[in-house]
Amino acid sequence: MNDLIEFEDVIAELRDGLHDVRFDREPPTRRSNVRRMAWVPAVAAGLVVAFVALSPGLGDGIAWAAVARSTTPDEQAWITEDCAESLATTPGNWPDVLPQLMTSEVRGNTATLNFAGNGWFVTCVVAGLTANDGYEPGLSVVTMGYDHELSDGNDDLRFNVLGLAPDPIDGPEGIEASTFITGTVSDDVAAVLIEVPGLGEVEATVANGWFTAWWPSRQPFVLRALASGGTPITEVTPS
Amino acid sequence: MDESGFEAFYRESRDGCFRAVIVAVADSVEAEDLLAEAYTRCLESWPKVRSHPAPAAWVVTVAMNLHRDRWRKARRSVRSLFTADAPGFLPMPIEADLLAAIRSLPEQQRRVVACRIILDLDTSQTADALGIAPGTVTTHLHRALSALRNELSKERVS
Repeated sequence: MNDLIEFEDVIAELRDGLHDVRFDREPPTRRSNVRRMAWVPAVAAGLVVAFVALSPGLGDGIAWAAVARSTTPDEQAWITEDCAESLATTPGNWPDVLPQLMTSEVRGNTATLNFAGNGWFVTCVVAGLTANDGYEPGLSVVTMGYDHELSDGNDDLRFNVLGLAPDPIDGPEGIEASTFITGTVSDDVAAVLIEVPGLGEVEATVANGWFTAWWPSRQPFVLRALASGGTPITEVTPS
Repeated sequence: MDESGFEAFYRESRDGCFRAVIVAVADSVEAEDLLAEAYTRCLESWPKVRSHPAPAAWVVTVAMNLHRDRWRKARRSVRSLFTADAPGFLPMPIEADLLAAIRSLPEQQRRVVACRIILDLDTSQTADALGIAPGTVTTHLHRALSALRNELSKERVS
């Protein structure tokens, strides 16, 4: 505090003025960790969408990235566990075991894991992955569907688009509406690039015959599938 | 969940945290609500918070972040009609002159004063808690204390 010696009179007045302030409430007790719904689906054709938790914004202070990073083993483990628990409580006639993990990625502060197999798929999204607002991170959105419901695209790229917008009542402020895409690729496809106006080229995560990406925009976009040498295979403008 | 140590931390830190949040949000009624919520979240995350280098700073930072929540801002606007226009309508734990001087500061300066002077964090800890550069802490602090001195001397003259 030596650097503040010139202000010691003000500091003393401030501290004296607050000296008698007491916080008299009893210690808190634990409550159920209910989180408010913060997003609403804008487009969810062919999918069951469950909002199981809430969270701060998808970006939440950490910059969204056109190229995703991989999830860590720890992140992958707890998200998979939460996803399986959520599956068990989601209404509908769904298999009770989570299929195999196909893609997993982190962009900004949001993780997306996609599980698929035996003709159906589950996508789990966690926003606020490293939230520092006192909430533990938790699942924000879970989508489920059958492979034959991947309604858009062609034989090389088949996908569904999920648009999300901040809830007008409880949604986060200052967060743009966002687009999630999940789908399958043919054996020839090594990369999927998504051209989004204002954001440039988004590189989807491609693995095990599936691809996943999200970006903070609801603008129309174009998908391009490339072979391993960069050769264009197909270009799709979602309907 | 292992809650050992939480209650002792709560009893030891609550008054200091309350003073810091009052300074940060310049509203004692709002500060009480925010701090209660922040401590509830602290309890829920206690296994993580207990190993934080400055748990009290964690609590105050959560309260300050909550303050920025839109819903709480809306509530505060309504409530401030009573606290500002009818002093004494609600009991105030600090002198009105001091509160007015604190309210005259920009939000970021109030946050720096809350961490640096009331919680007694050093410059580096304050910078970490607020997510700003140490140099920015120093600049805000000097400006805030100068402004407070001016405001308080004005109050004394009038």
